[in-house]
Amino acid sequence: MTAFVTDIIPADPPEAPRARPRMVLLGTGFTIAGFAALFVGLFAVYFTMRSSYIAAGDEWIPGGAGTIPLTPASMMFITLAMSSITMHWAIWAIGHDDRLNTWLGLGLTAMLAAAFLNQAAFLYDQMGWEIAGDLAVQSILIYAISGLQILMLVGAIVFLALMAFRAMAGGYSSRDSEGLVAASMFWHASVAAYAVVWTAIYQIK
Amino acid sequence: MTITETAPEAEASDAGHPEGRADGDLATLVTTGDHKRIGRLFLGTSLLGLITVVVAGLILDLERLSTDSFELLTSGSVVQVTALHELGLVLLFALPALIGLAMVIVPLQVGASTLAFPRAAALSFWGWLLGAALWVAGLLVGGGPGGTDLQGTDLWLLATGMLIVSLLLGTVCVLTTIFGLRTTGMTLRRIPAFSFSMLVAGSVWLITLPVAVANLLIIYLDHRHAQVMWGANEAILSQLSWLTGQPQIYAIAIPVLGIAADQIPVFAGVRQRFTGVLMAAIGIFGFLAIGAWAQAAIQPTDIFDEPLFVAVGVLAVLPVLMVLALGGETIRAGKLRPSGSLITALCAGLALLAATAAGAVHVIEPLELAGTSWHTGQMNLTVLAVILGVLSGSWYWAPKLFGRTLDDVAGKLIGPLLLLGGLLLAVPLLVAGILDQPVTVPPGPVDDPVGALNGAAFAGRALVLLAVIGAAATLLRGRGRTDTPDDPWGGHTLEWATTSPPPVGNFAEAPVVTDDRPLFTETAEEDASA
Repeated sequence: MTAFVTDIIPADPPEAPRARPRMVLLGTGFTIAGFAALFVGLFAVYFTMRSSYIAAGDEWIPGGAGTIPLTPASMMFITLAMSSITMHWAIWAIGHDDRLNTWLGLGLTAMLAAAFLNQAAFLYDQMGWEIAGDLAVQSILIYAISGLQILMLVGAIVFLALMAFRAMAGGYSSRDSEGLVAASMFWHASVAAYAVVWTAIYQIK
Repeated sequence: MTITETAPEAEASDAGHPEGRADGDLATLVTTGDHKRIGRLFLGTSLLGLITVVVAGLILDLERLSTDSFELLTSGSVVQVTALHELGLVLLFALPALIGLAMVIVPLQVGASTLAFPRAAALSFWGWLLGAALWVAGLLVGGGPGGTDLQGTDLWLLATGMLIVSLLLGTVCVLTTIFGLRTTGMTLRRIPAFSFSMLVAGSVWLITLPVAVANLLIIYLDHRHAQVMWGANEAILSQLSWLTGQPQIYAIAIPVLGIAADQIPVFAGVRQRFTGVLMAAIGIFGFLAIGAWAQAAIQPTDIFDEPLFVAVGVLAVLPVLMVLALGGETIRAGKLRPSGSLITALCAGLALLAATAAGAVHVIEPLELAGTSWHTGQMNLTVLAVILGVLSGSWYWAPKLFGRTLDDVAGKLIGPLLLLGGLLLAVPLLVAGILDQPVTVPPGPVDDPVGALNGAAFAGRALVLLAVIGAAATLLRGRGRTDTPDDPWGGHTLEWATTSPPPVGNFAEAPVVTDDRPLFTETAEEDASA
């Protein structure tokens, strides 16, 4: 009896395993969309108020632009930009099953985040604004926007810490690093939020 | 596996009961990760919320009817009760009820074994419940819009934020389920109309409700520290009124279209006609319902002078008309079996059509209806559509929601009764708007004919309240019956492929879909072979 190649190759190849749903990434994406809408809402009120002051011939920030020092704000931006790089380093490392570099990347990211929070406290201290008097409206809006960004970053730190613990326990590898990637996505989003805050508030004033 | 998945041991321990342990166990209720149970909790408590806010509406109606010698509320209390009524309709009833319905039905419709992030869904419910309790408490201690207690107002503002954030969390769970947990073959084009409408509605909520949180954050900081932007309590409600006004109010009504569209082909016994057009119409309605831009804080001029606002107000009626026309075409192609749920769904569609038509008239500037009770009538019509939609969905999906069918005769009565009550409530308010009755409740008595119209509105709202209580009683009656067929209607979509109530994991085997109406195809082949 003649054997044909087709006899040993199944007519229908076995069905490929279904791609695992990337739920954490999706959920994180939706959460970022919600935060983006929140910032849009805040900035819409901020710029409406600002333009109404300018249209009335008033200064938006009485006492001049120097009231909000730019140097610490810019240093904060550089710090967060560096943290984005170290975050990406960690993700790249886990993608190559390089645990040492993953820890290094995550550790440096956490350290830079702590530095950012310290700088933010310093900036607020230097500004010395209270929500009262002539600067009340401006204070409300600037504290609301910058405070929300800090809150988002704190959320990103908590998210990253949770995922880092799972990574330490061997929960992530090059085959599955969804949780860490999701945490990094949220991290980059909070950095992007600060970039907008830096441009719109600290730069343009 | 991630930390957000249901723990396997929890599923295993629930396996003895068709859908886990009994509802009555408090510890199980608090710790449950079962999407059906969480959805039921949302639905049940939102009905309580509805009764509360309708009673608040009745008090406002009574205040409108009050004479010189009898005044029920002070001017501040009127604003408080208005906030309870208007924002409560959205935050205590419409959104949680629709999210609850979606939490049960959407995973079944897309063939998922669970809801995405079940623990987050549970957190969403308990956060919402706590927020609702604090929200009402804030008003009761004299806070909130129009209140005199500053700390109570702070509490009310924080509770409002908590309500919205919790509802957004639930929305994220539903959206992630639709995008990430669809079964094999269930493409986005094949998902049933209700799931699709929830996808559209959830997306709209996700990009608009955070803007309300932004408003609340600014109002809170201003109120707590300075009171320079919007004063103590006076302007809080006006800053948030965009949530209950056009076009944002339509965002709560998007799933109503899906609820109706899912039922019409089933009870007509044919395929939905022009499914693509139907989905496009629902999507367009969702797009037009994005209303966060139409708020006082960012609109320096009167919103009624904005061409975009006028255009959106007029256009919103078209997609609703399109969905109803497609429903009519589908009914015409088949043979209709009028069930209680279908009649209620059709009433919901008509109420939404009336709401969007009233909305289109509202934005026509020469009629000068801005700031009149036309707004209240239009809002009530939209919420009426949601009430009817939620009840229709509860009747239709009762076998999956509660494990039993509901009284069909009651279903056939409650829909038309609610529609009648809702029209009796809304139409007099619309007419009173033409007669220049302001949107706010006036401090003193009003003359006829506006007084008579307000009396009619009171009677209509009382009828709505009676119908809602009747519906709630029907939902509670007959709990625990177990003789429910899996598919009593001959349904077309996946939720009818599993048992009633669905087991843990929803399906005995993960279903594979090759058609947008998988069960209908099977039925047709069986019919042909017979």
